[in-house]
Amino acid sequence: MSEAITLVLGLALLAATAWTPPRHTRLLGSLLFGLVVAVLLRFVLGPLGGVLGGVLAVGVAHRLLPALVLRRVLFLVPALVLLVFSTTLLMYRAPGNPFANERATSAQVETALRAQYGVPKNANQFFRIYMRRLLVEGTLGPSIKVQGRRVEELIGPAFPVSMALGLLALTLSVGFGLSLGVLAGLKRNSAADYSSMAVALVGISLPSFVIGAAEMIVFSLWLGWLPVAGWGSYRHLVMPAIALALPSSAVIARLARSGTIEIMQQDFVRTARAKGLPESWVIGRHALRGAIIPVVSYLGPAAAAIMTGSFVVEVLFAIPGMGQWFVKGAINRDYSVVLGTAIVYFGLVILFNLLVDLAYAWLDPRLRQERA
Amino acid sequence: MSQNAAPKGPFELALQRLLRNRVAVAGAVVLVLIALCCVLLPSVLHLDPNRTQPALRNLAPSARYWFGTDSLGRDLFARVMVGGQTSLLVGLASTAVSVLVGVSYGAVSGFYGGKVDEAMMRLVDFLYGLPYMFLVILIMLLFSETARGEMLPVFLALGLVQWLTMARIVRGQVLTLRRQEFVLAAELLGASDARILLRHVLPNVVGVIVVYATLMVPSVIILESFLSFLGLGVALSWGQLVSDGVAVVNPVRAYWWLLLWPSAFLGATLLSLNFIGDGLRDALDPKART
Amino acid sequence: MTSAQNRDTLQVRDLHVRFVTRERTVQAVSGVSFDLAPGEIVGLVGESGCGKSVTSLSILGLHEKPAGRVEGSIRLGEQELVGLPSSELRRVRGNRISMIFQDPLTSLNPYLRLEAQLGEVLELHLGMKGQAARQRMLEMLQLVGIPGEERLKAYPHQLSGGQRQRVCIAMALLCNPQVLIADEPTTMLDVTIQSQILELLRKLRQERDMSILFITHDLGVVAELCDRVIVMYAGRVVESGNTADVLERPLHPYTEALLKSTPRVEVKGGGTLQPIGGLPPRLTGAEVTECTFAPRCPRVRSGCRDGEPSLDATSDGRLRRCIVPVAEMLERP
Repeated sequence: MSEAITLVLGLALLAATAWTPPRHTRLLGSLLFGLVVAVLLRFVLGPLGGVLGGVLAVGVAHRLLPALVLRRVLFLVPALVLLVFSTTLLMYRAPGNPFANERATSAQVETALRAQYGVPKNANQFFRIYMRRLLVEGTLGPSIKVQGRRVEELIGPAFPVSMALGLLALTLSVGFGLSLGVLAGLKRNSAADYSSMAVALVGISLPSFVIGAAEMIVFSLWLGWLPVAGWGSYRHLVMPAIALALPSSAVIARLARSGTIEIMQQDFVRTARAKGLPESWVIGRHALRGAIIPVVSYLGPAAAAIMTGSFVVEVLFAIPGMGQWFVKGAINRDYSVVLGTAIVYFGLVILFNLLVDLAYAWLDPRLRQERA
Repeated sequence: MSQNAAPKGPFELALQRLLRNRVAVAGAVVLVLIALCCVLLPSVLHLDPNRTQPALRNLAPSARYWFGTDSLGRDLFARVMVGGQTSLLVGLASTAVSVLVGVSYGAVSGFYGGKVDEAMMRLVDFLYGLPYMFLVILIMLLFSETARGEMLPVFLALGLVQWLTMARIVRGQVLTLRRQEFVLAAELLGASDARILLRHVLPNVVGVIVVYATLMVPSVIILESFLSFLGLGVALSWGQLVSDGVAVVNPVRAYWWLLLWPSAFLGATLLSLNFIGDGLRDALDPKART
Repeated sequence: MTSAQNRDTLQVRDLHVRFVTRERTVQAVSGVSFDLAPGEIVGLVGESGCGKSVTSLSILGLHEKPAGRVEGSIRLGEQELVGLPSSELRRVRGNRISMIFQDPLTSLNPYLRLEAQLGEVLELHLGMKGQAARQRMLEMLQLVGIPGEERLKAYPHQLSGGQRQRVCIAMALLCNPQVLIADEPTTMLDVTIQSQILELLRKLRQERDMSILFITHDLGVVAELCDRVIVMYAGRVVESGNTADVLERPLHPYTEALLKSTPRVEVKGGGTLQPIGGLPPRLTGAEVTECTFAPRCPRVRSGCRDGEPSLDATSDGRLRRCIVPVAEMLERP
């Protein structure tokens, strides 16, 4: 039960970060920020580069970053660690282990293998070894199933693939959803409004793989415009990105529409008209900012939804992204691979949410007061 | 209009408004039809979704096999109906889990307010932005051997994805209601916390809960279909059927019926649920209609 | 700074405003006419729903289309405003006629700095930008009592309600309008701030020779600020004249009743306020066959139900829409 204790302690620590006084927040936040930067840079620049970069980052953070950011960092970095730990626990709790599947291994062989890969029977111990490997040696550990390869070598090439797809999908979904929603909101109860919202409803009601499959049939098999699946050129990006983007863009369209309608009914829009502003100024300079805000607050979940959808879309279109490594790793109980992908996914989401929070504060000046 | 008719309560008025919404009513009709078919037809027509007949594989829809057959010669109509049972059941049960967990959490958080609320909501805010599906998939992957055939872990896992939204909404409502005078009056009369919560606050939140529960069911069904598509499903469902259909897609012969029927049922069910949910929302709070 | 002779009169003639939706039709304003001379402050008074706000919004064409239909004539000097295409109307708004609204907390865009909100008026109507524009903004803010350059960079939520209303006034005056329409600008402010704003308006009228159409339901404010007053009921003008005359010797039972229901300092303690019983009529646009105030009028008599009284002038230039003889009104029960 030591694992449960560790978990509880971790949660308590996490909660405690909420009560840190401001002076300590700045210092601790900067230190954690520096640590993260050091670990990241180490993969690219080696140990010396990592350390130097980290120290620099601490300085920059301490002087320049706003309190809001540092407070978030103080919460999010331990949270990330806790998430990774929870994932470890889950894997250890599940039936089966990496070494049991092979031809019947005797106890000694298994012990030797466990020592070699650094995978003890106890989750706490494994986690300690793993973190030490990450922080001190700067590696995500050896893959248990893919002989002689380290995790970062495996998911390294897959990472840009998933990122490209994800970013494209997110951009499409925001661009399309926002335009459609704002237009619908401005021309409320018109034909344009009803048809846009009908499209949005369909987008929400069909899972991405259904959309993807339909795309495949129509655009590849019938029309022959695009390659069916696989990866390698821009044309391979189109269908998966659209399949990924459509559900989120539908939600964004609905949010943008209601945001626009609500804003246009605000008093200050009437004031803007009373000042003699042309409608384009009224909408562009006054209304739009407020209408975008509900969309911005959805961006975090949107990114998470796109990530979720990417598992399915990558499988459907046979795209060599991180999703397949995660799935393979989990099936094979390749702990290091799973943790590696987990860290990347969670890290990305956390980073994205942080950026969204900042954007939110920037958009709405009423939120900018620094709480002393 | 007679002056003597008893005034209608808010729920009755809402029901009236709902029934006037033709789209929502249409959705409800479609949904009920689909549900009835999936639940009743397999027994009534003695359908067997698992009987493989290799000689009859990949047949287009015909009078005998209304939806055609798949690559193992199985009757697609039977599979779609039985698969529907799973998809619908998962939708309902998982949503029930979400509602239970979410409502309890949100009600407690909103009712007590202050630091408790702040801490509880922080957790929700954080979890909200996670790719929760990641953990769900992990759970399903890891337990797939033991879980085969067992639905409970699925319900729990999927239910735990959605509770966050419900918790947030309920908490918001409870927070507002808490400060209303009728609650304060109840407090002054010495009612216990639990009694206030159950008798005074929650009945006013029921409407919102119903709306969002209805809108959550489609999300859960989609999540379950994701899992099935990836091969992690525990029982035959529409998602798995689509996956089967995709597996045999090829440029020479597109077996369109294998994809069309499960997708159509999936889409129709989801659309209906969304229409009903929207209709409920408009019915309960027409001022919010935009 | 301004020359009185160049100022135009605002003339409203036979204004009708109707709102048509699927559910029903509301005839919010029926046959309202009045003038606003240069340098005058005219009060437009009435209870909620009497049509005073609707009238004021019609002047600048601020009703949501297509629901609001405006018929009649509204002229600023030579220019007819009703039916003016929006491109033309926009040049009048904020420029020759400005408007300020009731709730200062929501009238300003919370997402933009004051500099931006004030600046766009100058840029649009006067082509002023940069240093010249900032100079003018600062002057105007100083005039309304919010001095200091740092104010320009502020956001609305950093100011109090009273301050925000002053900013709205400043914004309305940037282009030196001939007419300022003030729609209940002090209703949401507390009494001390209210009197400051009124004082400011008085000062501005004096310095700039600007006309003000002041809409309110508060007779006390009318007494303090307005030269003339127009009383509206059910979308019609029921009485108008000099403030002093109307408030001391009302010639319409509605005005009389309003006065009786307003607490006044000079009345000896111990008196009771008399509210006006009943509700205002629903204005469906159907033809009116009796005096609209008849159901609630304490002086109602048989002639009142025979048809709507016309708006007549009295010997001393006042207008009233009532068949009760003047002498009887002046007697006072």
